[in-house]
Amino acid sequence: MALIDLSKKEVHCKVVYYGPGRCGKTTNLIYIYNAMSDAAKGKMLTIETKGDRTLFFDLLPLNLGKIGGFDIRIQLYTVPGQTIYASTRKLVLKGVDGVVFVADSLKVRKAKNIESLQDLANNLKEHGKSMDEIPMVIQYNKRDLVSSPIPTLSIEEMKKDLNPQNKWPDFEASAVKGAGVFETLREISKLTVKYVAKKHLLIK
Amino acid sequence: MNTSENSIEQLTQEMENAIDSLFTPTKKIEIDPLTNEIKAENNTQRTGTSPSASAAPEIHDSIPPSGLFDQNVTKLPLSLQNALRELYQGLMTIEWDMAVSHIQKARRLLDGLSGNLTADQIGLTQHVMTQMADILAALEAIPLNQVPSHSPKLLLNLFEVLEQVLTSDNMTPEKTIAMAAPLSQELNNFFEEIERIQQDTPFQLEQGAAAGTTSPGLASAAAIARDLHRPLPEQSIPSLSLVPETEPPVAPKPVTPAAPEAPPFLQEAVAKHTMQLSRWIDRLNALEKILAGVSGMEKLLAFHRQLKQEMAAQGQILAQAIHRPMAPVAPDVRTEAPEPAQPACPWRMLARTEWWGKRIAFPQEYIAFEGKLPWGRGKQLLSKDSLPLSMLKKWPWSGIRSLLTGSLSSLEDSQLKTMVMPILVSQEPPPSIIITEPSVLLLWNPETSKGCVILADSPSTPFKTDAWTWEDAPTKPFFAGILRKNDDAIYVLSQDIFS
Repeated sequence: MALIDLSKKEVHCKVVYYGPGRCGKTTNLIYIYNAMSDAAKGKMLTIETKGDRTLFFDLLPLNLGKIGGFDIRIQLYTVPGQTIYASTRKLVLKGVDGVVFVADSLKVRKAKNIESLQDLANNLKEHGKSMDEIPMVIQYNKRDLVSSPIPTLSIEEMKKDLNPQNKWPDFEASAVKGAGVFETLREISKLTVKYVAKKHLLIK
Repeated sequence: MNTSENSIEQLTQEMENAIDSLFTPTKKIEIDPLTNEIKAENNTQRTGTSPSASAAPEIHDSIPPSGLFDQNVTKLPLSLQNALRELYQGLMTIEWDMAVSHIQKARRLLDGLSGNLTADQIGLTQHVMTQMADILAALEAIPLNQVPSHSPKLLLNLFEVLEQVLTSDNMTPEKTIAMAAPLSQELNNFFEEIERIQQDTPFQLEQGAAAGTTSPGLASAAAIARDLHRPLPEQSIPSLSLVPETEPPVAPKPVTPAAPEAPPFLQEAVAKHTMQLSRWIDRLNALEKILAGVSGMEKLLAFHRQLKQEMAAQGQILAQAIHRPMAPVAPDVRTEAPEPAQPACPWRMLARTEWWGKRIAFPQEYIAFEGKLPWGRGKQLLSKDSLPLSMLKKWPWSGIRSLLTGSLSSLEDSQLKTMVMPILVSQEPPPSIIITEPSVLLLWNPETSKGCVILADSPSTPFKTDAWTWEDAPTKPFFAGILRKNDDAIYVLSQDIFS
């Protein structure tokens, strides 16, 4: 759930980049961090929470400034590919307001994409949410590899696997080159703030 | 639509405008898919209406060092930084979730890290890295529900030492060992516990080893040495003195016979070729990293690894061949070389290891066997003065010949199983060195058909002697000379070790 402090007039929206290992989630954040104006971004952090166990995730806060008297912040989260395991994925999805599902265009990752999307659905369900409810955008990453000899999936194949009913907006992307990265970010940000505003501010 | 909904609509519209305005790239960059390094950075005209941006710092500067990850690491080459970071995260992952896949991944990352180290760094970190590898191998060998609870912490502590070794100036292998010394008791406890667990579940472990699901280090996990200070064997055969003698003895002859060196043009060609081989190996390392992360590419990865090993072996053969006796060269082709100001090392490449607290070196071609003995037999050797070659066998029915390299491997198994090699021991007092199970080095001199065994503290690594100065060692029997660089010294073994 978005963190809303009406006394301070602050709204924090949580967007999680989700997807199979090494699909380019962190690369998306790194690209955004490096290519974006300093005015809108905070420091990108790799968070390590210490308790009985350790949890890693990347966090990139983005600031929209004061709108309608509200200080709007969007926090982008992801779990680095190196530490993909079920508990973390589940934890990071707690209180999520929007999801970018990053799919890998490599042919060998076809099954992993589907598995990861299913995993997302299951984990959201455990938090009492569903993919039909919360804003979601699908990104077909690594499209730059289509022209290489490495076997890749076509967009049609990926759509059929991941977005057969065209439920969610989707974008082709190459996170290492930046193509589609900001388009994805803008779309999920708009959907998320709208969702948060309608769901929470309207109630308040 | 009521007023409240209108205001929400207005608010979201303003937000969308702000998003369009702010969430745009201010410059075009490209990210290295392997390292996440920013490869190219070109400022482009900003299309949005937000304030102009200053150049954003690279991500590596702004990720705060977390926990153990030392800020000094930033002075290391980026590839090494990334390899360290990945290993660190791999170890943290194990701490978070003890799973076989995570342990295996950490082992791969540890291997990957060694691929990013220079020869000197390998020498410095070998002690710690071997211990980390042993722990990971041991963890993989036991049932997950019996993993000692302190093992992730132990790995992280060793990582911290590793990091300090790599980022500290003027390090020596001895200092590395000293830095790891505070962990000795913990290591001792860990391996004791592993041994106990393995004794309780031997069948499972043997099955794993037989099925090839475990690494070579795994089989010996049960026997990883508990004794942190190696005891001195009672008998010393042959005796090897490292202290200067009162009467200067005759300088020992070098291991290789005096022979005309290869002509300079050939040496140069081989040097260039080996350098190129080394570059190709580096490229294969990068490729390996990619393949290791893609499922379905295991066969290709294995093929690349094999290729890399063959190339490395080829490089060694070339390097060694250039120092072997050459066919007589016509006198008119040879030019008289000027007298060198300082005596040069007779070998361009040697293998080095740590033994009895000292660094020693020898020609690689004398290595007939190197590794740890199966089923904890290495520990038994610590109190023996000789090694029957039959101890090298893993199973009663397996052969010895296939385990050996060089000319010794040309002998029949029936001969080999009767052979016993003396273990070299020093007359010096035992150093305060913490060792795990010794790495057994069987050296064989084909000219004299004699051999000996060194119980080394670490596996041998090849190195180039170019950057080292050579000093004859007339007062040190069994040593042909000493290689020196700054404060470092490596004692080069002579042929007398075979006597």
